[in-house]
Amino acid sequence: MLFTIAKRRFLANILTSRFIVAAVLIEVLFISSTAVLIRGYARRQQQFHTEVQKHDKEMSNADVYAQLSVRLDRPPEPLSIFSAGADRRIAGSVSVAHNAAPVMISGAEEDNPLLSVFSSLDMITIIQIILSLTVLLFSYNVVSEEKEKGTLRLVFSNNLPRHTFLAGNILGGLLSLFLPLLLGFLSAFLLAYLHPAVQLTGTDMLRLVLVILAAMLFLSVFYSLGVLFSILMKRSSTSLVFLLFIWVFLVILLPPGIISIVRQIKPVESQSAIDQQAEALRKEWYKRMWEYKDNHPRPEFIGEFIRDRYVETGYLPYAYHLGYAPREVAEWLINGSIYGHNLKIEYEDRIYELYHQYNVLLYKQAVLADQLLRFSPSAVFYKFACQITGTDASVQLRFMEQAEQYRQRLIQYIRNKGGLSSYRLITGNPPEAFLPVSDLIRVRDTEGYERVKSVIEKVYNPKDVKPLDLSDIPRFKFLRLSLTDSLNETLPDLIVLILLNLLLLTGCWITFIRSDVR
Amino acid sequence: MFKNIVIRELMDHLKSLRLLITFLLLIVLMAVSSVLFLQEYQQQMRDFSRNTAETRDINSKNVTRPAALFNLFSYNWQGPFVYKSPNRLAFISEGQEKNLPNSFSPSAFKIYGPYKKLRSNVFLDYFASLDWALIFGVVLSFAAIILVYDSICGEKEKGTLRLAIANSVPRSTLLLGKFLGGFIALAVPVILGTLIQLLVLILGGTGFQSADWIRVMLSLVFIFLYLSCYLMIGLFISSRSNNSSTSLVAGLLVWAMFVVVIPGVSGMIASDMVKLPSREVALENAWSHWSDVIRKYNQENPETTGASGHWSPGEPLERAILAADAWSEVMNDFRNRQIEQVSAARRVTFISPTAVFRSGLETMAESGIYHYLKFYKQVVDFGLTQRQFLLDHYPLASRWFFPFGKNPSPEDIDNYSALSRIKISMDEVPQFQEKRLSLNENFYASLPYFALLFMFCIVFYVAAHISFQKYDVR
Amino acid sequence: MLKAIDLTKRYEDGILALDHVNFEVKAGEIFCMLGANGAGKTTTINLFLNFIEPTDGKALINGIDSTKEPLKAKKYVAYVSENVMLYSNFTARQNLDFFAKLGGKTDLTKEDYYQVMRQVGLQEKAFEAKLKTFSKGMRQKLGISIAIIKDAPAILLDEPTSGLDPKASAEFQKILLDLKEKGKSIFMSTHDIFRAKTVADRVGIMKEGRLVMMRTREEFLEENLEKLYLDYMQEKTA
Repeated sequence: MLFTIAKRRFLANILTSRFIVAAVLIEVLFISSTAVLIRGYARRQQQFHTEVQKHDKEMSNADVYAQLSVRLDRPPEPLSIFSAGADRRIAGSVSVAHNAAPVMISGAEEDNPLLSVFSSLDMITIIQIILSLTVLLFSYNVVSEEKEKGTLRLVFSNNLPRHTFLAGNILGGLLSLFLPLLLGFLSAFLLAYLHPAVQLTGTDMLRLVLVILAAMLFLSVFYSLGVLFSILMKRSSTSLVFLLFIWVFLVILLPPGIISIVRQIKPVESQSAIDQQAEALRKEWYKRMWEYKDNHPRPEFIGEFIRDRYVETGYLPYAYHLGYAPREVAEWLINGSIYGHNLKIEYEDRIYELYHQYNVLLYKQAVLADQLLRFSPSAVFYKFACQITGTDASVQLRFMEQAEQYRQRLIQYIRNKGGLSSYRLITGNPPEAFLPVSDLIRVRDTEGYERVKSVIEKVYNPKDVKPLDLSDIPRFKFLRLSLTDSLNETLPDLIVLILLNLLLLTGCWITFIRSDVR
Repeated sequence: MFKNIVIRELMDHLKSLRLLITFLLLIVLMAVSSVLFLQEYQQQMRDFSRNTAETRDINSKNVTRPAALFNLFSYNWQGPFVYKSPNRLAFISEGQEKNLPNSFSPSAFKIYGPYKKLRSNVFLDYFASLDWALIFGVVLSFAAIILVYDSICGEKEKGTLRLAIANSVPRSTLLLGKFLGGFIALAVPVILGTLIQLLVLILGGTGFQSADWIRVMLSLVFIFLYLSCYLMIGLFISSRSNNSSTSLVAGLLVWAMFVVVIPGVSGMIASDMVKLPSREVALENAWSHWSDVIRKYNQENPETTGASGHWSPGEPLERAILAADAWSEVMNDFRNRQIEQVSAARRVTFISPTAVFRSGLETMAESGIYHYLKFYKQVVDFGLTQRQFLLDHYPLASRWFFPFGKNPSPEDIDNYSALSRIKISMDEVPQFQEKRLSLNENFYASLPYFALLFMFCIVFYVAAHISFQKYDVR
Repeated sequence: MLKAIDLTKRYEDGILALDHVNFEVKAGEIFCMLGANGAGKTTTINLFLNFIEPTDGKALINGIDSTKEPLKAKKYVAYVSENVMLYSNFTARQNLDFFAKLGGKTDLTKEDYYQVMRQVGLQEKAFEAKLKTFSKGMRQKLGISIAIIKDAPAILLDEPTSGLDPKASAEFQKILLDLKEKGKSIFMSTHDIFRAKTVADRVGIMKEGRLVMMRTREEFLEENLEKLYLDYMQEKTA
């Protein structure tokens, strides 16, 4: 008899024109939004490959270790086709060097920060908004309409326990409403799977399955809510009005409201405060560099004997690249740079800590928001989906942390190569290869400037400079959170959805057992 | 007769549960949002004061340094910054300002930026603010649909429609009466909510001025136009169906399309509509143009060599300006295209009255992208002001330079000392002051949106009218 | 088959809807309950179907107390509700199939359904038509066929002829008499004195919750039932 009831409810739903209209709309939305997101993803993927190659090439241009800067690229998340989340906003690329901590984040949206005014329409949003509304529109009158029509009396004039009727209607109704969900998802999935630019692993597909399961849980929350109201209210139209406003409140109004409240009760500093602290640290380093220079007086610089001495803007006393200089000058520069760079590493470590702590604070604010957002089932579902698909904003934190870990490995690598303790930091030749200034002056005065030039060129010729051998440099690969770890993090959200379901279903059962069927 | 119809419809609505819930919801939302806005605004003002004070500090320090001119107008890639001022009308439309950049670093040569120096949190997902654009944009349109979706087909089902039409009342009168009844019913919570909010804001001391009141009035006109639009949509849908539940589903799905889907599409196609290079590429391009100009100048003027990225003491001013302009041409074009990309994508969404409404409010409140555009223009103008100041104090024709790689003569060194010791007082230094739009400019800027919304109303009214004329009332 | 013993129902607000009603409907018997609106006829039926519980007394179906063992009792009774809409998006046969299954008849064929629908006088072309195209009379016939197909020994009918035209009413009467021939116990609440006179074996008049009069067929055929009914009704105002 459960099957009979369920089958009737199922057919009653799908045979109506409003179901067809809703289902067609949902299908169209799934397909079109996914198609657009696939295009965007393919473009970002292409860009990623281009950037990786470009960055490799740039890196290999460095001919001294002081110039070695590595760009770490994060590939776009393929599952962002289904759940756009924060993937577009988050850093796609970050620069690290031994003396530059990963704080300059550039997100894909940084190319046009104005794009942040737009929200995206992805599968998750469609489920969150359109599907939940549709579910309500089919559940608000499950019991009340049968009462109004008189069929409820007819049904219960038979040997039918109440819970069977309830279960059958919930089962049949949910199954009918899962149809457009599954159809839409399968179409979207096929579109993505068949696209040449999209590679989905087995784990990716498992993640998608979990998202769909969560979607079903989410939709059944609204279905049960609808059924509950249809039991409690005598008239279908009353039930509908309540439910629609509850929907608008929970799905559309509550999330921004909570975010605004959280921003007030747990405010965070603006980044400029941290920038100032970082700037102060850099100034301190700067000061110490000048102190060092004061304690180590500079030999005379004779411009014509110096080649390719590059300094940072702001006239730091020491260079980050030296082609040729008289031996005394070269030694002075090398020693100063070694001191400066090693000191900078310490300061950059501290600067990283500053930004890291700041990001952790930001993250904590978001965590508070998440806890409060548990009042909105749509927000819970959204968070679950983003975390499982790896498109939530915590990816930024992890990217930053992994970037710093890589930086430490890079520092070790450079140390192993003697890059932080020898001439190799700023020049390709040991100081012994350079002539002392007295010799150079002698050559110039006796044999002329042209002779000096050829003497210098024998040691340093810009055309012959070989780049660093970076064949054994550690490589960076961004590690996504494993499925088990993702699940661990999102378990509370899943539990909330399950509990909501249990609560509402129990409510339905308790109220229906005792309600009047006439 | 018309009066009777309107009164009956109004009474019907006033006694309905739907209006009661709408009323409560709107009042609560307006109250909550005004408190939240007040807090936010006060915090923004504090931040803004602090930031601008900081800029003043840096400027006053630079004024006292040797080579003040150089420090004030040249070394600006790390600040000081100019900031967008907080918007006391942002409760009308916040326009996503908390996600938009709010500062630039201008100088006489190059403008760096935009920068986002806000209390923003990348981990908090994008969510809109509880402003009028959201509250009225979402709730009012929703309520309009819910109020009138069964205005025609429901009456048909109850049998009262044929009773009404059995009298000598023209259908158009009936339709207008239904419209007006719904309009008045919903206008009441709108006005009440607005009054509550304004009261809270005035008491909270956000510094309302008389021009602001006019802006609020005009925004209300927008809101009422918007309300009319959705009432017409609801009535149109009601007159296309015999069955109120079909009408409701259709109405809600149309609502979802206009309010959620269509505005959501724009972001995804923005990058297709206007192609942008990446910021890195744009910067590379800019610097390479800059290098080209430097190189060319150095060739034509053999005594000059080298160059640094920022005009340094002794470099030829003329060269620095030419090179900076070449750089700025690329970057200004890039920034303008960023704005165009967003505006173009937005324009596509104007098939939805909600998108038009939101953009209209944004223009009225001078927030969001519209504010950013105006701010940027003023920053560019400020850069030119700074340049003029520099030229007034430092001769452009001066070809004095610190010859890199050569030995300077004592005369050169004297000149350098003289020029780098030019003194200016803090009072002379141009300060950035953001000017907000005048009422006139506001009005003209929002006129197109008024017109569009008005057109939507007309279109939906005509559609409802035609549909109802042919409606089978039995 | 159907027995009411001191059946009493007092609502929470104090209203006495049924006051110690006693009657019995044997197999092959049609019992018509007459009475004004609100007299308690529908309440009686609701008590038999365990939609509400009696304050006192018992309602027995086939000897089973419908309060104590409702599910068991309902196996033996079929119900024709007043003015029921049924499921408008389903066809007549689909509606019939659904309720047949609920009534325990799970292995009937399409032809079985067609047979029953013919029996109640529904036109062939209506069998696979959606309910929303049905007139009131047609819906009523389908309602009867739902009761027939359950093949339960007792049938409860609540105002089955209200709103039917004379032709449909007459057809309905024929069906009732057929069912009676088959040995069903039929309880029918109605306003239709004419119809009651034609089909009933016994008639009861309910007034303000009390069964104020009961007559067998022989008895009321002698007396003027209409006058009797109106007299009893007017006692209220007298």
